Amino acid sequence: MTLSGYVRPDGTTGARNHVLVLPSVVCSSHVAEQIAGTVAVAIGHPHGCGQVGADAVHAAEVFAGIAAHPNVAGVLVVGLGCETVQGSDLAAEIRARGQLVELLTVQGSGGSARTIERGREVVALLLDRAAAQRRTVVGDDVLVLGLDDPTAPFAPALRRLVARAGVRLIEPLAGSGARAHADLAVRGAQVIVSWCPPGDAPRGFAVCPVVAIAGDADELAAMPDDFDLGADGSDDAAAARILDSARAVFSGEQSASERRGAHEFELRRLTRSM
Amino acid sequence: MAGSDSSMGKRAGSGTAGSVGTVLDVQVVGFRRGDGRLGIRNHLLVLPARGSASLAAARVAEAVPGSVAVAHDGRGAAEPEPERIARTLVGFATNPNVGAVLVVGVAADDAWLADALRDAGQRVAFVALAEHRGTLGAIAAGVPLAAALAEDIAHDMRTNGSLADIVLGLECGGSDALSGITANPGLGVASDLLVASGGASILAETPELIGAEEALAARAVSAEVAASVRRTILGFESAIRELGVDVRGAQPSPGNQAGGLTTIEEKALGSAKKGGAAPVVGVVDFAEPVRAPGLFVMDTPGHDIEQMVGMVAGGAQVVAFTTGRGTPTGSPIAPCVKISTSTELYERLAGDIDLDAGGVLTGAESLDELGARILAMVAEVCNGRLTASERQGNREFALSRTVYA
Repeated sequence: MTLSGYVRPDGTTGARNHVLVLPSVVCSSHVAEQIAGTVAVAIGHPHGCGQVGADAVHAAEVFAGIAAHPNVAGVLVVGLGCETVQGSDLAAEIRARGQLVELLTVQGSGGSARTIERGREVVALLLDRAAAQRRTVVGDDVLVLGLDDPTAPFAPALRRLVARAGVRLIEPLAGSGARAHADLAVRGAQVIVSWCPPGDAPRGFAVCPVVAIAGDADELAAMPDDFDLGADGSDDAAAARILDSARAVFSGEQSASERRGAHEFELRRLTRSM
Repeated sequence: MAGSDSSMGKRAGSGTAGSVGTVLDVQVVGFRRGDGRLGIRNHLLVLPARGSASLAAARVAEAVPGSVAVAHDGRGAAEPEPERIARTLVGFATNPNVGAVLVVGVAADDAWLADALRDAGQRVAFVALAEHRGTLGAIAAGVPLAAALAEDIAHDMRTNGSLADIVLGLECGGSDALSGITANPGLGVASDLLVASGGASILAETPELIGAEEALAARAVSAEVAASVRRTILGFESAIRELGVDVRGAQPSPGNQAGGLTTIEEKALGSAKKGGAAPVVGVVDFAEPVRAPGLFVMDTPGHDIEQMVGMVAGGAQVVAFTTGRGTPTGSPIAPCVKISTSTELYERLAGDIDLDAGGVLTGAESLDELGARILAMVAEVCNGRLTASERQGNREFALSRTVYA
């Protein structure tokens, strides 16, 4: 099976073509969600203010990285106006990375209702621009998989397989599970391979499909709708099933996370809020 | 509000209200709970036990009129501070404004949360993803459970209460140079009036009290409480300093500075004015219950939403939130009265602000009059008037942690 994706102006390739409405702070998250409605992806989150030092820098870096992600065709940043992670700085950084981006602030737009009204007009334009993008056939070398847990039983076999297949596999530098998803996306993963430890349920991610692998047979039997695959072994055959699934999802097949509409976002925090 | 609108209006205009010790006889009608507390709203809360159940909880609430979900990133048994997280979730879901709760878990082990709420006297149902093939099945199973709870609480009637039943959360966010001159001292007058009427107020956002610790300790009812005030505020400062951040250097924030604040002491003394002049009767930890009258200090971050969650989990049924820059946020279960520090802001962000404190600046209103008007608004809101954030559906929520692992 050949891969297809959205080739971006900077040479990266997207597995999806999302329009993203990105609040720079918790205070504009509800407005961002109202703007996005069901036609765009919004990342509501409780961050962006009351953060200090490296924690604030990391938050801004993650926001910019997700917005500039190849799975994203265009971005509307919604700031409040007085937040730590300033919407204007964020939009400038996203623009500098070559992404199509617009900016609105609640304080500068006359409040929530006016920001929502104007934001919906901006999103309509971004959707038009996104709709003009087309999938084209691409090689396996553009595929970047993010594995959210290096301790997954299939990880060694998957590492060997991707090395042979010429696919990049990146793994968390800190944290694992849903907390690692944003960092993996920022580092370029278009599809996330998630190993869900027994006892928990799998998570989706904002702009990347998640291929979810159940931790054991009981987990798969209990929540078959939320998983893409069972953890049926740690051998080469298991790794091959995972890579096949990830390649199909990259090219447009919906993952379980997408079927249930799980465009979730968690920020790995470094320090407590001020 | 049972005929008390006009009487409050006269008090507000008379200029006699507002000094410490003035007792207001204002009727508040609400939902009397089994533990004696009074709810001023009767929400059906759809509460995920952990982050991986948040999507299902949100979808259930979308399908059931009158219900409200929160989303959070709780990690269940993997939390580094499980007691703090449990205290937050249980306190929030047993706030008297919550009439019933549907807990959404991943598996049977998440039922501890439903059990804890039931033990506290709350009406509860529980649904788990693992019992229904996953998220979509849990939504399908959760909707009729939530609908049954909604039907149940719809029969609850408001009964008579008073300001003595009210716990008011005091908050400021997006402060400017006028915060400490208009809205915050006005809210302080309102807080004093409430306390004199037998109610309780919570002064929080510890980092924004750094620099005001001695002024607050001097108002403590005992040497023990005074020591607790100092320990809490200076403890937060040293915890932040251990992270390599000089809080006295990092504050005020860029937005505060653009609004004219120059030093952390200036910001802190302005922030502390929300607590009026009443004695400080106690200090509580984040999300710990406030169950007695008087002014309490709660140890919370300055983060607007973490602070609000802490106060509401501690029992505040209503929040009064002053703002100089303007912010639309609110709580999922407690109405939040937004007070602008200037008329310019009130007019510019009209749909997001409930009350304008700018008249103090022009001399159109005294601080005592403003304080009485704020408390009158709080009472109206207690009796059912919707706030701007309620009308706009602002339902922000966040878990507060002190360590990240």
